[in-house]
Formats: sequence, structure tokens, C-alpha cells
Amino acid sequence: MAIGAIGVIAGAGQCRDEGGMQTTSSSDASPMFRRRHILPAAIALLGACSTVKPARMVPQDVPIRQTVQIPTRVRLASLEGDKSSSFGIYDDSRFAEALLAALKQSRLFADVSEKDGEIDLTVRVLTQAHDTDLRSMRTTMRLVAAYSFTGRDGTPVWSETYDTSFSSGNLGGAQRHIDSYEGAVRESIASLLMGIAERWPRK
Amino acid sequence: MIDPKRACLPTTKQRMPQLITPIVRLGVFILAMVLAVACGTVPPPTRARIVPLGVGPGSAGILLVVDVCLNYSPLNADDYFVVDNARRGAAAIATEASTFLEHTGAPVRTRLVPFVCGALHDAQNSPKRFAELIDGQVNLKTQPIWLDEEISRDAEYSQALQQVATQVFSTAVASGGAGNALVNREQLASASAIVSRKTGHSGLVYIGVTGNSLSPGKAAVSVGARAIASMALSLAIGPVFRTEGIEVYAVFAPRFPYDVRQMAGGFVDLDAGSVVRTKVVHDVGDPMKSEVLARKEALSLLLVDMAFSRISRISR
Repeated sequence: MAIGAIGVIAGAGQCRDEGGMQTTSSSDASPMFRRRHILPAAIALLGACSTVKPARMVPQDVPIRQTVQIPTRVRLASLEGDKSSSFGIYDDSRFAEALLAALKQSRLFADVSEKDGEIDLTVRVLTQAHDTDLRSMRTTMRLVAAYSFTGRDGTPVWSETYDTSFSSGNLGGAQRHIDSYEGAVRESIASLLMGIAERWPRK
Repeated sequence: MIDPKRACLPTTKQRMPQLITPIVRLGVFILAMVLAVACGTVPPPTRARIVPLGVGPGSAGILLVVDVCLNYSPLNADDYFVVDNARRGAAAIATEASTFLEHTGAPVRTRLVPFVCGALHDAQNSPKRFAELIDGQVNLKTQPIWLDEEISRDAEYSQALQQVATQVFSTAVASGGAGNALVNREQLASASAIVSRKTGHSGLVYIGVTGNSLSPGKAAVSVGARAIASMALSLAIGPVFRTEGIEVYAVFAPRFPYDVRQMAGGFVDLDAGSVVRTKVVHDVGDPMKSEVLARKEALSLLLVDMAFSRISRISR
């Protein structure tokens, strides 16, 4: 937020977010003033535009061997993290969005939605921890998430917990955190998809 | 206007080499930094399915034991341990840890706060200074400095619990390289058998906390010491996981010059009489406050590495 504000104050231009919101400002200052502010403004804009993207958390290369679809409709009942926001990076709603997209894309179940289904999926993020090594400019995000499928009456159907990590060496601090968070979530969702494909109880 | 030649001042032309040298040096330094970062290896992503220990067809459930020992360091007197804050903090930890374990399917059947300062600090168990409350009357007592009334009625059981606590705590701290004087496998095996027989459980999750709390006056003057100590530890131990200020590494905490706590945990297979896994987590904040002691960020980092086994670990 602060970085974004600096970007706007610096009179640097425009930034479009996912919802199409646009902030524009102009400056009638001298060319020297503009040159002097190009670099800070660019950095500020990079920071302001950095955000977690659900599309980047959907795994694309999951080797799912299952050929028969599970004839069940799943409802994503809830996804609860252990903290709602840290530097605006941890974002449960975007994690949920990515999870829904990944489950739909995998076609493992007959249908997946937030509204309706025969079984409920509850996700609890138990651990979100990052390690930043300043010597190598590397951030590693560690994420532990428990996925539980239950019948509408609360009967346990299937559950597994995954511990995943992802490291980023991006030079930008905020982007490094975002990359590592997105990667750890992506690995967690990929683990779930593989787990369902390999270990879902067969009738 | 002063003529530079007459005033013996270097002209712009003469100053150029002096100006260029530091700029070139800075450029080389920045280039080296960028190359070092670019060439640095980024670890591959990891995936692991984790399963709580103590789960299985023959499992008789898990016993959760929390043992807290808080040292208070007032401005103008010797340190002493505080019973009341330790008991309240231990209860808060037990609640939070049970919730965490139950979310992962771990069958926690019983949770106990059997004592305060149960795990021995020294093999001789020399008397320790303690008070019921902060600023309360200070007395001397050997460990444990408080024992649950019901458990105290069964001397064999309470002694076995204390021996398990001492063994797990010592094993956890020793695994971090901070000494192993109190580790005794035979003692652990016999104590485990007693606890198993008395409780009917097959697994035990032990969480032992040693905390150091300064008086407000000492805390104020220790800000610098805390920063230096944190930096020194981080540099000595290398990268550590942090979540909201938590740093995970093994070090024995009491008598640090700032508010700090060390959480040493372990999973004991009571049937086998052995410590299966241990972990030490270190966190800052005044441990006299229950909400600080039971912070789930610290607990989750402790539990996830000590109460679970990893299956199908994939490193790509």
C-alpha cells in the first residue's frame, strides 16, 4: 500500500490491477525532475503491481494416472489459513480460487464448486513460514496444509496433509516472497491432485 | 573568483581519476553481487505427505504432556522460577497443540500438565529458587517445583513422567548440539513402560518450554543485547525458518539477556521405549504471557517436524 502510494505521488504513470482498477497521474514537472524520479517510480510501481495470482498457483504438470473420473460432486466448504495476511502475501481467498481451478482442470471429480456438492472439502493451512537467506537473496516458503473430504453429515471420507516448500531467487524482495508463496501453494495443490488420483478410496 | 591553479586546488580534469576510481569500484562490487546472486543455487521444490506418528491399527492413542519452566529475572535480585504463569501457559499450549494435532488426524486422547519445571536442568537436581507469582515470596525446592495433586498421589507414575520429560528434553537439546549429559536410554525405556501401563497410551508427545522473562527495566536496557544476540545466532547457524519472528534452531535458552523461550519437543514410542523424533524451536516475546507461549505459529513449526512421519517425499 505504502509502495503504491509512493508510486502515485512520484507521478510515475499507471498501474492496472486484476479487477481492472486503474490509477493514473501526470506531472508537469521539468524533464530533470522526471529523470530523477524514473527509477524510484519504477521500483514503486513494480512493488505496487506485485500480488499473488491464482493462475500461477494452479499446477500444470501433474502426472495424474487416473483414467476413471470419481462420480462425486465436491463443494469447497472452507479454506482457513493460520494468518490472513503478511505483507499482503498470504491470501486464503486466492489459494481457494487456485484450488477450485486446479480441481476443475484435473477432472478428477464429476464437479467442483463453492456452492453445491455431495461431499465437502475443508482445507486448513497449519503452517506458513518463510526463510530468507540474505547472503544468496533467496526466500523459501514452507506450507503445511491439511485437506479433509467429509460427507454432508460430517462422515470422514478421505484426508491427507502435505508439507511443501518452494524457493525463489528473485532480486525483488516482495516478488521473491510472492513467487515462493505461489510455488509452495502450487506444490501443495499438485500433491493433493496426485494423492486423490493414487489413494482415493475405491468402492 | 578564485583561480584553481593559483589556489592549488585540483581542476575538474585533475579530479576525474579520483572520481572514477570509487565509481568503478562500486560498479565492480555491484556486478559481483549480481553475479553471485545469479549464480546462487535455488533449492528445488519439495513435496511430502505427512502422517501423524502414533496412528495405526494397533495404536492406543497419544498422550500429550506439556512442561513449562519460566525464569523471571528482576532488576535487583536473583532470578527465580514462577509457578502460576508456567501453569497457565502450559494449559494454553496444551489446548493449542491438541487442536493442531486433531486437525491432522492425530488421536490425542489425553493431555496433561503434570508439573512445572519437570525436565531436570542438572543431573544433581539441585534446589531451585521459585515463587508462586511474580514478586511473590521466593523459596527453594528441587524439581519439579510444582506437581499436580492427583498425579502426586502415584509416586511411581509421577517419577516416570518426570524421567520421560528429562530424557526427551535432553535428547532434543542434544540433537541441536547443546549437550547430552542427561540422556539415558535405559531410564527412558523403563519410564516409558510405566507411563504406558498407567495410561494405556502407545505414543507420547512431549512439549517442554524453558523461558526467560526480564523485568520491564531489564528488558528496556537489553534491546541492543537482543539485536546482537539474534544476529550472532542467525549468522552462526545459517538460514532458519521464520514465521512472524520465530526462528528455528537448537540452543539452550535460559539466562539469555532478553525475553525468549525455547520449545523442545519429542515423540516417544511408549511401546518401544524410545524417542522417535525431536525438534527445538526458539522464539522471542515475554513467556510470562500465555498468549505468547501458545502462539500457534511457533507450536505448528515445532509439532510438524516432531509429531509426523514423512511419506513419499518428492524433491523435483
